[in-house]
Amino acid sequence: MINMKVIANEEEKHVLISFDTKFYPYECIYKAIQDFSGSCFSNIKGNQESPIVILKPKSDEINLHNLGYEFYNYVLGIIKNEGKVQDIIKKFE
Amino acid sequence: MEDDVFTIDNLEIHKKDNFVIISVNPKMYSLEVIYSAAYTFIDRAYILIEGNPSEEVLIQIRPKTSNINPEILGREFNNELLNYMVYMQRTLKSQSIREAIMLRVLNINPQVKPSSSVPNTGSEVYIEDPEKIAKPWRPHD
Repeated sequence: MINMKVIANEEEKHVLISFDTKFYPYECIYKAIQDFSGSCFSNIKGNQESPIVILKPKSDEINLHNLGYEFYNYVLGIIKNEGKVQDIIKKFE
Repeated sequence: MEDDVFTIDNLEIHKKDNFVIISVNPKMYSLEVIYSAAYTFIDRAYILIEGNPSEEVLIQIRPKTSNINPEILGREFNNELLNYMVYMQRTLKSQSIREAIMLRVLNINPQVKPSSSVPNTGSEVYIEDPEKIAKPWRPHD
C-alpha cells in the first residue's frame, strides 16, 4: 500500500528520502535542506516530481532512520508555518 | 496480507513495524484539514503524507517511541481531522462577522483629512468672514 520513502544505508552512512511534490512542494524541501546543512552533508537527485534527498550526517551519533523521518516532519512544519497548503490545494483545483 | 498487518475502519495497522497508515478521502476532509491534523502529531510521531490529492490521501504515522500504540495514534488522528473540520466550518461561518467587527474597529476613530477648500491661515480655528467684520476679541477694546 505504501512505498519505502526513507531508506537508510548504514554502510555508506547516509539516508535517502524520497518525496512526492504533490504533497511536499519543491521550495519547502530546499528550505529544509538548507536548514539541515549545519548537521548534514546533503544532495538532491531524482526529478522535479519525485526528488530524492540524500543526507549524510556530519556526526556518527545521529540515527539515520530517525534523521529521515525528522526531515519529513521538518518539511511538514515548513509547509504549515509558511502557509504553503493553499498553494498545494490550488494546484489540484 | 501479512499476519502483523490488520485493518480497522480507515486504519491499516502494522503491528510489527509499529506504524499506522490512515486512509482519508480528500472529498470529505480538505487538504488544509489533513495538514493541520498531521501537524499536531509531529512532537509524538513521524508523519509521511502520500497518495492522490484528489482521490485518496494516505498518512503514515510512526510513533517516535515504542511505548505509544500506533492504533491509538490513528484513532486520535481521526478525531483531530474532525476537530479541524469543525474549526474550519466555524471559521467560514463567522468570517463575515469577523470582517464586520474589524471594519468597525478600524473605523471607530477615523482620521479626517483637512478639506483642501479651507485655506491654511496658520491659526487652529478658521471662521468664514465674507464681510470682513470679524475681529479678534480683546478684553479692553
